[in-house]
Amino acid sequence: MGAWKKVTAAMVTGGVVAALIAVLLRPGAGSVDESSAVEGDTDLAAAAVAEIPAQGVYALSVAEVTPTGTRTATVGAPMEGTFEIGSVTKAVTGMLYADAVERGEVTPDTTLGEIFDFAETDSASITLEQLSQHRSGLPRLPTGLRTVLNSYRWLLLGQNPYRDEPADVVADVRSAAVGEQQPAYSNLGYAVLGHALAETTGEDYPQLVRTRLAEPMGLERFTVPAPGEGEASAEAVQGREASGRTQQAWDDAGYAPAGGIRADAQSMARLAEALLNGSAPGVAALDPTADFDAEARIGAGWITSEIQGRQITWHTGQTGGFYTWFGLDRERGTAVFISGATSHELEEAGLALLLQAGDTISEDTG
Amino acid sequence: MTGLLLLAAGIFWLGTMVEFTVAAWGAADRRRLVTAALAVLLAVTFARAVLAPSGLLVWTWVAGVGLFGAVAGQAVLRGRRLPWVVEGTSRWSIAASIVWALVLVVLLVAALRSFV
Repeated sequence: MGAWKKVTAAMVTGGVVAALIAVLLRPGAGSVDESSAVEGDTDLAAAAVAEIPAQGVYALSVAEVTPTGTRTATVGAPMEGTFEIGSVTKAVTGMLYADAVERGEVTPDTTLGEIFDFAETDSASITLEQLSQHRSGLPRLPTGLRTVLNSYRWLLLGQNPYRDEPADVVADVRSAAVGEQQPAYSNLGYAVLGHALAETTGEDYPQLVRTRLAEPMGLERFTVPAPGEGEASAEAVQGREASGRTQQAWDDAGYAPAGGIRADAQSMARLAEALLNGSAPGVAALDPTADFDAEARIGAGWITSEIQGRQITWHTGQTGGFYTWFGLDRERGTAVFISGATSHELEEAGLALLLQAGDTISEDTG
Repeated sequence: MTGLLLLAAGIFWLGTMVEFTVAAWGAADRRRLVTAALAVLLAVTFARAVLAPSGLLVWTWVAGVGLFGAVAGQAVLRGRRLPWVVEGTSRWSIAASIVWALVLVVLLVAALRSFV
C-alpha cells in the first residue's frame, strides 16, 4: 500500500472511531425522553417530558394538584428522589416569616438591629417586611473577591459556590452597603431573613423548616440538609448541568434560607394542597402586598403575575444541578411543581402544565 | 459568562489541535506526539463540560473529536517510526515534558471525574 493510502486509511479509521465514540458521549446523552423509566402517574410524566427541552434534563420530578385530585411522577429518578428546589426555598422562608408574624414573634416592622448586634450600621434599620419583599437595599450577594472566586469555582469545577455559615451571612449584612430600598432580588437578604427568624425563635433554620412546616403538613422528604450532607441521603438525586456534568450539592448553612431545601414530588404536592386549601402555616405569604416590577407583585417571597388572564403565584429555583418551578392558580385550585436535574430553565414547562391543568378543569366543568 | 466559556473552549481546542496536527506530521519523537494528544483530549473534555446540548454545538463537538481521531491516526502511523526521545535531548527538556504530561493527565482526570 502506498504511503498516502496508508495515511488516508489511518486517518479515516481514526476519525470514524473517534466520531462514533463522540456520538455516544455527546453533550445531552442520557437526557430523559419518552422512553425513560417513569414512576408514578405515567400521563403526567408524559405531559411533563413533552414540555421540557428535548436534551439536557437528566431526571425529572413533577407534581400536579387540581380540585379533582393530585398526581405525582418522576422520570429517570425514584419516586422518593429528592431534588434541590433552590430559590423556591425563599418562598418557604416567606411562609416561615408570615407564620412568625401570625404567632406574634416578630412584626413586619421588626428591624435587623433589634435582632442582631448591628449597632448604628445602615443594615440595622432594615425591616423583616423589606427583606421578605426584596426591597431591603441589600445587594444580590456580598460584593468582593470571595464571591467572584466562588462563582468561578462553580462555573469551572461544578462546586457549590456558597460556603458560608449563618454568622458569615450576618456579618456580610452588617458590613453591606445598603442601597435604595427599591425591589431588587437579594439572596443575601433572604438568607439573613431566615437567620433572623431563627435567632428570634431560638431554633436554627433547618429546625424551623422541620418543626413549623414539614412536620405539621406531613412533608416526609422536605428537609434542609446539613453542610456536606446534601448528597448523603439515599434518596438524593444527582444534580447535573445541561451538558451532563455533575454538580456538587448546594448544601451550605449560610444561604440555606435562600435556596437550601431538598424535596420530593409527594412532599411538594402536599405543600401545594395545603397552600391551596389555606391550611399551610404562613399561607399569607402568598398574598401580594407590594409591586415587584411592572408585571408582577410580591408577597413574602411569592411572586404573583397575570398570565393569560389568570393570577399565577409562583417562584423559580436554580442551583448548580437543578432547575425548579412551583406555581399555583389559587382561584382555580391548581398547582404544579416541576424540578429537573438540569441547568435548563423549566419555567415554561411548569407554566404550560399549570395552564393545561386549568384547561382540563374547564372541560370537565363544561 | 457561558459565551465566554464557549469562546475559551473553542480557542483552547483550536490551539491544541494546530499543535497536534503539526506534531503528527513533523514530530521528531513520540514525546511531543503524546503531550500534544493529551492537550487536545483535555480541550475536548473541557468543551464537553461546558457545552449545552443544543443541536449545532453538539455536532460541532462531535466533528471536533472526529477530527482529533483522524489526526491521531496519522500520529500513530508516524509514532511507530519514532523513538520516545530523540537523541541529544537535554535532561531538562525531558523533565519538562514529563511534568507537562503529568499536569495534563491530572487536569484530564479532574475534568473526567466531574462527569461521574
